Amino acid sequence: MPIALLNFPTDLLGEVFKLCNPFELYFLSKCSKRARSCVKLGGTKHWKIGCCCCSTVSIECEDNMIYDFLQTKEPNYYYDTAFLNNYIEIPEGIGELLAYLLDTFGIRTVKWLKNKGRDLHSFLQIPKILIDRNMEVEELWLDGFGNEDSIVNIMPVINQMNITREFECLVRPRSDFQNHFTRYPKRIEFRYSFWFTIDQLLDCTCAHIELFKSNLNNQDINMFLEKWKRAGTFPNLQYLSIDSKRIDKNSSILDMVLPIKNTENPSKAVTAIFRGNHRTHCISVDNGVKVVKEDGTEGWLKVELNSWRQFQFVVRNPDDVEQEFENEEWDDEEPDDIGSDDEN
Amino acid sequence: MSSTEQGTSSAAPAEPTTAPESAAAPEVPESFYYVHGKDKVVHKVSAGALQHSALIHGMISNLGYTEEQAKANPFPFENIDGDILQMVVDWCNQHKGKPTPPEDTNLPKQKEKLFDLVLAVNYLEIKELLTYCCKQVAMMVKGKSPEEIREIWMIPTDAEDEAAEKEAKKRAGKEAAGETAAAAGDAK
Repeated sequence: MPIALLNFPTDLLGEVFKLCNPFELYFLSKCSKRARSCVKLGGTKHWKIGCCCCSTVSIECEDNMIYDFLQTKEPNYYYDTAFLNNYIEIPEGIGELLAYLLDTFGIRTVKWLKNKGRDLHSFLQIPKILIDRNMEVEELWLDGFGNEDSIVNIMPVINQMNITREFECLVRPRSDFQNHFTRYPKRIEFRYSFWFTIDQLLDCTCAHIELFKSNLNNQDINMFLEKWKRAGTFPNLQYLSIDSKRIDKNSSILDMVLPIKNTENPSKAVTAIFRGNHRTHCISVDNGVKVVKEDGTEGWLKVELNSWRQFQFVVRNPDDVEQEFENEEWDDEEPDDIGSDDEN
Repeated sequence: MSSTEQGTSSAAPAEPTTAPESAAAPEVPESFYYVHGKDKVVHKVSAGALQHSALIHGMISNLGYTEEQAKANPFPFENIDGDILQMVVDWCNQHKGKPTPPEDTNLPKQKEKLFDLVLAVNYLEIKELLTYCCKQVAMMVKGKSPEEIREIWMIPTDAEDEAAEKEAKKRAGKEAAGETAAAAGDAK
C-alpha cells in the first residue's frame, strides 16, 4: 500500500530518513528534485565519505557501517542491491557520483581518498571536486607506477586541499620534481622524498614524518636537531625518520660520530604511535641516544649505517611507558660504499 | 482495552474495567480519562495507558481533573480519525506500564492506515509507537529500486511537482483576488 511520504511534516520525514541507509536515500534522491532536497533531514551531513579512484565511493554512517557504491558498465547490474546489502553498482562515473553524493547528503568530511591503479590523470578530477566544495580530507594516499609526469600536475592541486591527518605518497616523481607545501597534515610519508629539502623539513608542522629515498645529509640532520633543541620549535613532532644514502660517517651529528646508538645496558625502547583511520603506525626505537630540548623535553635519536642508512628520532611522550631491556649482540653490516655521496 | 461509546462527548461513559489484582496488593483506584476523535466516539482510557502520550500526559498533569471532571471533559482530537484513535488507544492499553519490545507484535497491522497513524502518533507524541511506525515506513523500501520507491512512497515526478506548484500559485492568486474584491465590497 503506497504512502505519500513527502506529505509528512519535516520532523517526521527526518525520523523516517534516519532509519534509511545511504542506498535507499540515494535512490530516493533520484526520484525528484524535491525528494533530493529532503534527504539531508536524515542526518546525512554527519556521514563521512571515502573515495578509491577510479572504482568506488564509500559512505560511512554514524554507526560505522560502510556502504560502497561501485561503478559498473553492465546495465543489468545497475542499482542492484539484492546480491549483498553493503554495495550497489551504479552507472555514473566516480567523479560525477562523488559530487552528487556530497551535494545530496551535505557530507563535509572525506575520510580517505586514494588512487588505486596507474592513472593519476583521471584521479585529478577528484581533488578539484573537493577543493571547489572546501572539503576536509582526513587521509590521502597516492599510489601507482609510471606516474612520474602526472605527479607534477597533481601536487599543485593537492597543495590546495585541506588534508588534515595523513598524506602518504608512494609515487616516484621525475628527478627534477620540486614542490613546496604550504600546510601539512599530522602525518606525512613520502616513499621518494629527494625533493623534500631541509628548508621544508625545518618548516614542517607534522607530528609524524617518514622520508624515504631522501637527499638530506648529516649537515641537514644536524641543522634540524639544533633547531629542535630550541624551546618552542616543532611543538607537534613525535617521530621523524629519514632514509638517505647521503647519511655517512664522514661528519658528525650533534658532535657524535656515526653510527649513533646507545650501547649502555639496560637500554630503552621509545615508541611513537600515530593512529590513522585505517592503520596505527607504531614505531619503536631502541638503543637511542638521548637529546634534551631547552624546555626539558626528551628526544631519542639513532643513526644506522647498515645496508639501511636511516636516521630515526622519537620525541618521548611523558605518558609513554618506557621499556628496558638488555642489549643483545648484533652484526653491524656496513655496506662497502659508506662515506660516498651517491645520488639516490 | 478501552471502552468506546457512540455519541457525543457528553455521553455517559461505561464503567471502568479493572484488571484482577492479587489479594495481597493494596487497592489503588485507577483514574480514567476520556478522548474522542473526529467521529466523536468517546474512548475511556486509564491514566497509566495515556502515559505513553507525552501530549496527553502533559495535559493531565496540568489539569488535575477529578473523575467527574474527566468524564465531563473528554479530550477532543478533531484532527484524528476515529478508527485511528481507536488503534492508538488499543496500543496504549496493551502497553500500559511496560516498555515496548524491539519487535512489537501487538502493533496496528493496517498498512493502508499507516500514513494517518504516523501523523496521529506524532501529534500525540507517543515516542515508542512513532519509532515503530517510522520503522514500518522505512522498511517499505528495503531492497527496492528507485522506480519502486517512487511508487511506494508516491513521490511525484519533477513535472508533477512543477504542475502542482503552478496550480497552487494560480489558486493562491485567485483567492487573493477574491479577498480583495470582498474587501472592496465591504468598503462600499
